[in-house]
Amino acid sequence: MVNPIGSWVGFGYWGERVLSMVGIGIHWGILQYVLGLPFAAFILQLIYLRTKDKDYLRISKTLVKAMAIVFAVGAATGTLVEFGLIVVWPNVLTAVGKWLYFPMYAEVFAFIMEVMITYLLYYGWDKLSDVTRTILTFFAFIGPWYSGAMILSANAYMNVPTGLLPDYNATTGQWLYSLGYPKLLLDVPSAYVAILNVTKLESLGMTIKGTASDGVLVYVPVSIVNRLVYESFNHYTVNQSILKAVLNSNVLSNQAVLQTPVLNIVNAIMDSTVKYFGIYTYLFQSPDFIPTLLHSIGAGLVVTGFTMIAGFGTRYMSVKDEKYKKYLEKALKFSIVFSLIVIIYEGLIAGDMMGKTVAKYNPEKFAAIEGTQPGFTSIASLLHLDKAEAFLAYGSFSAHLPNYSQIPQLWGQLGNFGVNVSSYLPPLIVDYSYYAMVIVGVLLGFYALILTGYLLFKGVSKINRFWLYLAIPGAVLAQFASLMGWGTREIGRLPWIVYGVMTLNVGSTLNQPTLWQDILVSLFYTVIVIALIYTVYRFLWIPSKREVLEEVK
Amino acid sequence: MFMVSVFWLAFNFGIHIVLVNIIIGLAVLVPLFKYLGMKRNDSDLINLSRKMMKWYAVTYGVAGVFGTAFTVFLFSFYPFFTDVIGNLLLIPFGISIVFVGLNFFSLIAYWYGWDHWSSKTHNLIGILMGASAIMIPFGFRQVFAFLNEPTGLSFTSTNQPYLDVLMAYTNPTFWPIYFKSIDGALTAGMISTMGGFGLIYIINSENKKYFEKSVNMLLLPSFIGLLLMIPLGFWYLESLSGIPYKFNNIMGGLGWIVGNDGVSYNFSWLFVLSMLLTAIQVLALVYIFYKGIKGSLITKGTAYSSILAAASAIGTIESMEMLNAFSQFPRFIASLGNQQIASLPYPWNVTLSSALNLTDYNTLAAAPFATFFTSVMMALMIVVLGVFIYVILFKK
Repeated sequence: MVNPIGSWVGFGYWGERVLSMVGIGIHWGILQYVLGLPFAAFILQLIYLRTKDKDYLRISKTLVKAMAIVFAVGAATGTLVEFGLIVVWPNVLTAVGKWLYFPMYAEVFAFIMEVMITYLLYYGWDKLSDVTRTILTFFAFIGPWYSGAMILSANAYMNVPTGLLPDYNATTGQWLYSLGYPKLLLDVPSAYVAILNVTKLESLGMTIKGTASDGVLVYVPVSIVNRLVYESFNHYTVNQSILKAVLNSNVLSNQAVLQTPVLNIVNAIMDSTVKYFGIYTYLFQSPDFIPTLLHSIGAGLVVTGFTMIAGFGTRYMSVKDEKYKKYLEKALKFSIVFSLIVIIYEGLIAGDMMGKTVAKYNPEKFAAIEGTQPGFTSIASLLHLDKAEAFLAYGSFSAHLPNYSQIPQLWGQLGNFGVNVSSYLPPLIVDYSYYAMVIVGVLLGFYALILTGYLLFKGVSKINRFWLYLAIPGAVLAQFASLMGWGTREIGRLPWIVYGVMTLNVGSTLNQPTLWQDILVSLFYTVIVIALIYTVYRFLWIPSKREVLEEVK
Repeated sequence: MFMVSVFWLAFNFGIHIVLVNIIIGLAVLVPLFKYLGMKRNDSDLINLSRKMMKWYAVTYGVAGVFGTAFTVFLFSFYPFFTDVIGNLLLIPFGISIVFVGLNFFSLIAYWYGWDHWSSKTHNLIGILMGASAIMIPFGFRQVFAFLNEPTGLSFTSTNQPYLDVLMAYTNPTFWPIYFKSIDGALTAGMISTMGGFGLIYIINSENKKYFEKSVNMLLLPSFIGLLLMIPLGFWYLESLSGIPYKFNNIMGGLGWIVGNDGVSYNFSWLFVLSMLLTAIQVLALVYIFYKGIKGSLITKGTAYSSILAAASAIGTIESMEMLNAFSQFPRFIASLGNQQIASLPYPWNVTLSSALNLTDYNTLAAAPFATFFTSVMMALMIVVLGVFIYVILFKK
């Protein structure tokens, strides 16, 4: 009997993982609105410019007001996350800073753009002309999307490092570990190539792709990369390293070579690899980047859409003033149509792209998502989705889903040279989290479709109250689906922090947080969330009860 | 020797630290004035407090932006140094993170809840706002003290480094730098407030009552704060005498040398500059006092004088912080030269020899386009900031 929770728990490092789950999880939840609200506000202003109906401007202003509140908390939690990463996963931040820094630079300016424009828009709303305001609102959503793109490029790299050759053949259903896959394309500087025994390296699964200006391009099995990264952050020298076994015999007695820290060698290889791909575009070349970006923005739009339905719909049910009611009808109508469009986009376009990328480049994660393990009750098999999933993932009903039970437990390890990881099998719990996301997403899609049906055939005022009562659970479920998607992405990568490169134990801090620190930080974040919800209630919901329309120019 | 890495760190830190000092001052003054205004039924004082709250919110946002930029530059240019402090300084950073968060949320609650909470609740949030601001440096200044001298740095039997937190707080440089920072921030906050109201009085004489109120409330306390900086400054300087490398770079140019090392980089001119700027503040405040005694406290002259004092206060913070940072160049930890690092247990004696050296920066991050991009974007950002401040604070 397979214990999906046990395998998830078994990876350890709970001190750090709890801090990350709580901190990043809450930031993720908040930033859904930062991604979605200004975009919706922008569309509303375009409608206003076209129709000159001031109600649309009022709705837009309400969304910008919500954005200003949520953004402040999002910015604060984002800053806390950044600091958290430095102290909790210092080696990861070191690697990011050393080789993947450029998008982080660019993100700083995106963040600044977000701060300035959000508050310029909020405080300057009545001081700006219609066109200026609309232009600012355009930048108000471009800012978070641009910022998100920069951060997500790092996260995409963590899932699919640039230059990765995957390890699964869906046509034959074969795992390719015996051939050394997955492999990572690295540019090994000529100085190092000269001291290495190429024949031995090829016997370990390395394949030479060609030459670059200052070195040789080599596909290196990730088991070797993993070990070298482990040795680097554990201060090995060449003399203690696996590298000693592949040195040419003429340098085996060279003390200068033997005393060289492995970190220096990995540094040089990564430097030249980053230069080969391009310092400024290295992360963006991850095949996971575009799908991740589109899917994450889509998630933000979906959560925003259903939250708008909940806010405007719930208010609509108890409103008395006719003028205010008309305003809410427009708001609700917009929210419903918006939600339907974005959920279709999210499911059929962005979600499909994301799924195909996971299936191709993270087959272990995909196998865990599909739960292809005897003795494990997977949702996919319960729903008899195997063939459909194969078609969606690989474009053929005859393709084979990756078989979880055939993955060697230590597939990421180089022979006996371990890195203190007891299992490389991703936790099967992601089968449940993934299908929770899918099922909730489908239900939300039907919900939006039903509401749209009312709009088309009966009008807003005829929507049955039953459906409006479902609006708040709908918003909560949209957040839940988004969280499950993010959870699947992160948990399904375990034990890797960076797939094929760095494992949990290598990335974590030497001085792990204690239980009381975890509890304290968790409580702190809980207070933040409660405060945010209360603030939104106090400054958006309570004023709306007065049923007074916002003054507009 | 010009280094891109050091330039960007100094640029961002320089702006961030000045604003942070003003923030700490405002975080204490705003709720205090609001409370006193309510207690004395003084609506001018309440309005003054509300105006200061707006400055506080804007300053906080801008400081946050430059603080974030500083962090990104730090881990991009010096990834292995970031690794070292990230691994060791969880508790001091954690303390600051918690209080930054508390300060931020109390700011939001205090600002948005101005006319919404009960007076008692609002005051309580104000106390939280002030207290959390004062506690932020309790963590960050510990990091600074650690960078002076790594008191509390210990190694396990397997040579794994960790921070003995209690011992870290016995660092001889911590308490002087912490108290000096708090006094400096409160004083700079007070003087900047007077300068700010002096400026808006000069722009529009309708603001006279605010300038008058601010001077009446803050002139004496800011003078006391400024005088207090003298013993606190010397206390900190005295604590640095245990770190000859740094001390000599600060005082060596004036002939005051400790130990046998001599001066490596002469930054005494920054010390002299900060003393001069302090003297200007004292003179400006004395002038306002003098005018007050003469019965003409609120004039354009005293307004200009308050602006001069505020500019000098900001300059003093800037020069003091730059002096503190550059006087240990190129060391990240002032007391750890090559010899001291070599005596640490293996492998830290090897790792730290490059990780703690400012001249050993990540060349990828200093690539030409990255520098160009950063320069253009930074220039753009400063223009946008200017527009932002204009629209929020000045545009009718």
